[in-house]
Amino acid sequence: MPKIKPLTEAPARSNVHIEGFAADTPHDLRERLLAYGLIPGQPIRVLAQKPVTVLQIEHTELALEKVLAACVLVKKQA
Amino acid sequence: MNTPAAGGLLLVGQPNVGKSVLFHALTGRYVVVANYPGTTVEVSRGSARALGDMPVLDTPGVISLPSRTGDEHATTRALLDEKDVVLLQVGDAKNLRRSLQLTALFAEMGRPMVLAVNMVDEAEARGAHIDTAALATELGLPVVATVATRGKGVAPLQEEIKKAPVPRFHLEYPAEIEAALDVMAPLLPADALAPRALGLLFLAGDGELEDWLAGRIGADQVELLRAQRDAVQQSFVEPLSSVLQQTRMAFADRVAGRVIRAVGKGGTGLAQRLGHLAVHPVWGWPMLLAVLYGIYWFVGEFGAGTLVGLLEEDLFGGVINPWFQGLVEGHVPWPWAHDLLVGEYGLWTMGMTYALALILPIVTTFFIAFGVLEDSGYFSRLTVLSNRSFKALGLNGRAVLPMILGLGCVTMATLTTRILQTPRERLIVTFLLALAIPCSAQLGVVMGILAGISFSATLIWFCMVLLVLVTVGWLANRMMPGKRIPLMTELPPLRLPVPGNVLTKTWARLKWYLEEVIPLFLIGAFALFVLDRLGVLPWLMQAAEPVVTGWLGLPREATAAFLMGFLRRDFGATGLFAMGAALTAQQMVVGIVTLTLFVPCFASLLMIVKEHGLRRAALMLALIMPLAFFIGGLLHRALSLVGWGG
Repeated sequence: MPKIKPLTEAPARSNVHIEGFAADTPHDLRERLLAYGLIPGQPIRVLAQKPVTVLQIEHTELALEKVLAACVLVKKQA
Repeated sequence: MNTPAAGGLLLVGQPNVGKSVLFHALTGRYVVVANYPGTTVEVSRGSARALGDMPVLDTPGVISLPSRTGDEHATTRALLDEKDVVLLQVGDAKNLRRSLQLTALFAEMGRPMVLAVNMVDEAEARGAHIDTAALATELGLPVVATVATRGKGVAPLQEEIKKAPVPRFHLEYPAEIEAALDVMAPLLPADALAPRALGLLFLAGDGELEDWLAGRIGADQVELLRAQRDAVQQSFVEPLSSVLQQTRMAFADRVAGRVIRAVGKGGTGLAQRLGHLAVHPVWGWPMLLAVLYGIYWFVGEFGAGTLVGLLEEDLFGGVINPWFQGLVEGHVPWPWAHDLLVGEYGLWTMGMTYALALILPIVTTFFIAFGVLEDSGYFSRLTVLSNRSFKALGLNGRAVLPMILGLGCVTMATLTTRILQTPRERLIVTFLLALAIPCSAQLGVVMGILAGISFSATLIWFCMVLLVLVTVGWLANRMMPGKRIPLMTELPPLRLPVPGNVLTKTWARLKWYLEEVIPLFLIGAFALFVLDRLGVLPWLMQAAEPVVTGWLGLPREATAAFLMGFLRRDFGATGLFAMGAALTAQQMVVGIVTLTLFVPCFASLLMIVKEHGLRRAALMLALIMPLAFFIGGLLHRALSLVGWGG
């Protein structure tokens, strides 16, 4: 059973699944992230963790500052 | 059933999906488009000849509804106010889920609708093929695949728009919400969007809709609706907007899973690798320096050096002006008219010569360079790279977009601050734009002058302006209440710009330049001529002597340049340039730094008043003017101290 961890801890160039959002994620932020396509179950690829978290979702790239990326919970792809 | 689309076509969709490019393809009317989210901040209108002169409206992109930023509010307004329109949603083939969650809302608005799935070429290159026929069946509305930048799919799109039906689309929300929608429907106006869609937006808490409703059905009714909303909220732990969003997202996920087919393996191309390099914490910086040097070379050396030399010295100075002077002096009997037309501050010798021979080649090269960068998608990458630097200013990397746009035109950039999320960010960026960001015309003249002195002159100017920008931004962040918003932004792919599109854009901007700037140049030259004649100019020079000569160490004639700076900052810089040999290298640098910081041009001042009110605009001016002279004087003393003379 792969461990659930914040997106900030997923190494660059790794593939993960969106698991959900941290409990203290503000609701408007949660909606924004959802609107960008970060739906639980969705596979994403982490492209970079510096200077900010850059992830690929479907075929678009999204940049998230650390404090935001820390709200996204992911699970390593089996 | 076909509804006659008397109201026209409303383009809607997420940011940076190509709405404005399609708008141009449909109407032939050019609106500025670029490869970064947030280029369009207001609704633009045109009409499509191929569709029987149907009016077409382009709206700012919305990530999701309810609307949250100023530009998104404009889109909600257009959806509410525009009657009998056909909706054309533009979606991104590279991220279909995101597009479809908006489709789920638009399709229930009771308007005829077509979905254009744009950028299918980029999706295919990355290994995703979208079955548009299957998608059309799933959604119950026409779907057309397009590549807007190359005009692909535009003809079939026009055909579908002509016969667009009201979609037979229904998304079932949780039972409590469905029940509330039924209760609310009779309270909502029936002549705008479908009451169901209004109800959904209202439940999600769209403030713009509430304002609109208060004007339509009265505050009492809105109060009833609010009570209804509060009652439904009791059934859910999460806010209603999240519940609605999750329902739509689940739908989008389901549909996308059925219509996307993987083709090829879609490896990482050169553009993608470059794109990653551009945001790399180490390699990103040399890349930025290379880009900056490229601009400096193209605009400073080629535009301001080679082209200006050909036009100003050879063509105007050597051929046109002597001929015109001879013509005027030979045929016009009044000496004052000689002065007015071809004298020191003459309409032709000063106004037209500067506008056409000096500034035109410089802004043309700048607009070309800027257009190439805009369409390449590099600016969005810069958002990420610069994010940390903007942290100190209480901003996030998104602020780099209005700032860079300000290098094109500060007036336009002031309007673009609408893409920022909070009033606090908008105010800080507007202030910094007014203070320390030179626009392309001014930048061009400044680069031209400084390149003529030495590279170290350019460096001194750049560092001074940057220092002021950072210090003032840092102070503003400290003094203004409120919190910084962390960065979240889409990074569009790097693309090779289409030359035709860059040229169209350059031409549109040049046309604006010629129309706006030349009359101002003539007015400025005329005003100076009159002031000179009436003896006001010498008097002003006398009065300003303590500041201009005493504090800045410039000759008193430089006062004229500062006066011109009130009209346009590039006009002021041109005034300094015209003094040429009368100024030492050191005086030139001091004068230019002061002018760069000096008052924003008249047009952008009006824009600040429009966006932030008279009081704040006046306050900004009151801070900026003394600050500019203060810095200029300090620089004069510092340069004298180290003995820099070029």
